[in-house]
Amino acid sequence: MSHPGPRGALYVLACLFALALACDLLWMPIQVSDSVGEILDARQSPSTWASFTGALGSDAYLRPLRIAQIKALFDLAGGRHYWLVYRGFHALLMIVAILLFARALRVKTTTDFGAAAFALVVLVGLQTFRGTVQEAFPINHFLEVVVLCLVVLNLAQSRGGVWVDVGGAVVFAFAALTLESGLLVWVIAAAAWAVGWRGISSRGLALMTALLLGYGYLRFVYLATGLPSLTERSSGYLLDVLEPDELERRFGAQPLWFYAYNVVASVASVLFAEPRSGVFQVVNAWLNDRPLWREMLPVVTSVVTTAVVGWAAIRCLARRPFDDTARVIVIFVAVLIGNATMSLAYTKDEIMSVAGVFYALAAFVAVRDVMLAGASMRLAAAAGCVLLLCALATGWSVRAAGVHYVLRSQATKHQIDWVELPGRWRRENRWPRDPAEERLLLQLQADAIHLELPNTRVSRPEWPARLWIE
Amino acid sequence: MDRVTAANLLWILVAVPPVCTALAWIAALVVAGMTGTHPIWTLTPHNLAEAVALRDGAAAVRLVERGQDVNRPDTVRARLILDEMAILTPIEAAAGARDEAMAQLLFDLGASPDAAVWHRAFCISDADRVREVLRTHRPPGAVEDCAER
Repeated sequence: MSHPGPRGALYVLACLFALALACDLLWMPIQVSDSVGEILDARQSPSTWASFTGALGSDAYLRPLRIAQIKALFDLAGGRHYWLVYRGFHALLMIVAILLFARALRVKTTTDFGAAAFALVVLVGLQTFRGTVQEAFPINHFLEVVVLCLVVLNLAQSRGGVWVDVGGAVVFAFAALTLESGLLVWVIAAAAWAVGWRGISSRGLALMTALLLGYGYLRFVYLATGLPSLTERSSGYLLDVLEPDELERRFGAQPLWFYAYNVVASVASVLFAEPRSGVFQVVNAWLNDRPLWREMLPVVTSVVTTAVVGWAAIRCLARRPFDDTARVIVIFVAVLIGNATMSLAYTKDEIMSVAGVFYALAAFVAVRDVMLAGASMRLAAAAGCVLLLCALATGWSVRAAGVHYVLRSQATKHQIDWVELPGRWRRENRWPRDPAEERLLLQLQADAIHLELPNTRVSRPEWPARLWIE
Repeated sequence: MDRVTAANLLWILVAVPPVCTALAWIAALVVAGMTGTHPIWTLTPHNLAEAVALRDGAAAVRLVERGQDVNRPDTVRARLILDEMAILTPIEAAAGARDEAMAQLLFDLGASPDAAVWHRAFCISDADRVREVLRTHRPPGAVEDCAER
C-alpha cells in the first residue's frame, strides 16, 4: 500500500486547519467598522488606477495598493457578489498562508511531522494570528503581508534563478506599497541570504535593496508622507489604553520613552503573550477579578515555548556550520526586531503578525531539536521531555481551538452591526441620499442578515468565554 | 510494521493534540452545516419574541421579513428571560433582556405597542437605557408608574 509519508501527512493536517479557518472566515459577514467607508469610496472611484494614485497623497502612510486592491475586488464583485469576493479573498489568503507555512517547514521525517503539527497550533494559537482573521477592512492586509513574507521565505529556500530574483523584487514592491509591515519582506530576504539560504541571489537582494531605497525616497522625499505622529491613534500603555490627547499630555514633550515601550512591548507580546496590544492583561484580570485561567494559558504556553526556543538557540549557536535550526532562529530574531521597530508609534498585536509566524517556525525547529535530543537522554530526562512537549502541544491546541470561538463571536458582532446600521445612520442623518449608494448598503446588509449564525451573544454555554479570550 | 520505540512514540504524542484539534474543528463546522445547529451554541429562536430575548437581531429581521407580526405575543421558553415559560410581545422580550438596541430595532421594524404592552415592557426592564428608548415611543395613555407591581 502506498504511504503518504511525513510531508504528505503534514499537508493533510495543514489542509484541515486551512479548511476550518477558511470555512469560519466565509461564515462571516463583511464587517461594518473601517470597512463600509472603504467600500463606498471604492464605488466612487472611477478605476483601480485612480484609487492607487489617489492614495499616494495620504498623510503619514503610504499604502496605495491597499486602496487599489479594495477597488479591484469591488469591481470583481460585479455589483452583486460583494460578500463572496471580499470574504472569499480572505479565506483564499488564509489557505495560501497555511500551505506556504507548511511548505517552509521542509518536513522529511516523522519527527519533523510531530514538530510541524506542534508549529501549526503555535501559528494558529498565537494571539498575533488573530489579527489576520478577526477583522478585514474589507481586505485583511496583515494576512496579505504574512502571505507575501512566506512567499519570499519559500523563494529564499528554493534553488534560485532569475525568475526567483524577479519574483522576490515584485513581492517586495507589492508588500511595501500595501502596508508598512510589507518592508519585512526585505528583512526576511536579507536575513535568509545572510544565513545561507540564497534562493534569492546577491543580485536579487541588490534589486530589492534598490527598491527599498526607492521606497524611502518616494515616501520621505518625493511625497514627504512622513510617519504617524504620537496622536495618530490610541495605544496601550501598561494597564490602560491611552487616547491620543492623553498620549500627547504624557509623552508629547518626551516621546522616546513611549516609543521604546512600544518596541519592547511588541517583542514581549510575541515571546511571552504579554502585554497584548501594549496592555498587561493578566495584571488587569487579576486586579479586576476576571477569570485568570484564560489569561494565564497563553502566557504559560508562550513562556515555556520561548524557553525551548532559547535552549535550541544556545545549542545551535555552538554548532558550525549553521544548520536549519540556526538559520530559522536567526531569521526569526531579525523579523522580530524589524517588526517591533515598525510598532514604534503605537503597538497592536496584529502589527506583529509576521513576527508571530516566524515565532511558529522557530518553535518548529526548537521542538524538533528537543525531540531529537530526547532520544539520547536518560529515562527520567526523556520522560520529563515527553511530558513537557505533550503539555505544551495540548496547551497550544486549546489556544488554537479558541480561534473558532473568536471567529464565531466576531461574526455575530459584525452581523448585529449590520442589523443596527440603517436605523442608526438614519437617526444620525448619515444614511445616503444617492439611490445607488443606498442600494449597495441594503445589499451588503441583506447579505449579512441572511447568514444564519450560531448565537454567541447570550453566553450559553458559559465555558467558552471562561476558556478563551475573545 | 515498524516497532514502536520511544522516538516514534514522542512524535505521535506531540502530534495527537493538534490533529484532534483540527478534526474537532472540522467536525463542529460539518455538524453546524448539516444540521443548522452548532454543537456548542445550540440555542436557536422559535419565534420573534425568542429571537429578541436571545438578542439575535438578524433572526428577528429575518422573521419579520417572513411575515411574523412585530407586535404579536408569543411563547418564550423558561430561563431565556424569566424563570418560567412566559407569553411576551417582542418589545416586552427586549425590555426583559435589558437590550436597548433590540428595543430600538423593533421600533425601527415597525413595533407599535399599545399602552398596556408599553407599560409592562417599561416595568419589566430596570435598565435606564431601555427605558429611554421606550420613552421616545410612548403611546398615548401609557404611564411610567410601576408601583402596583
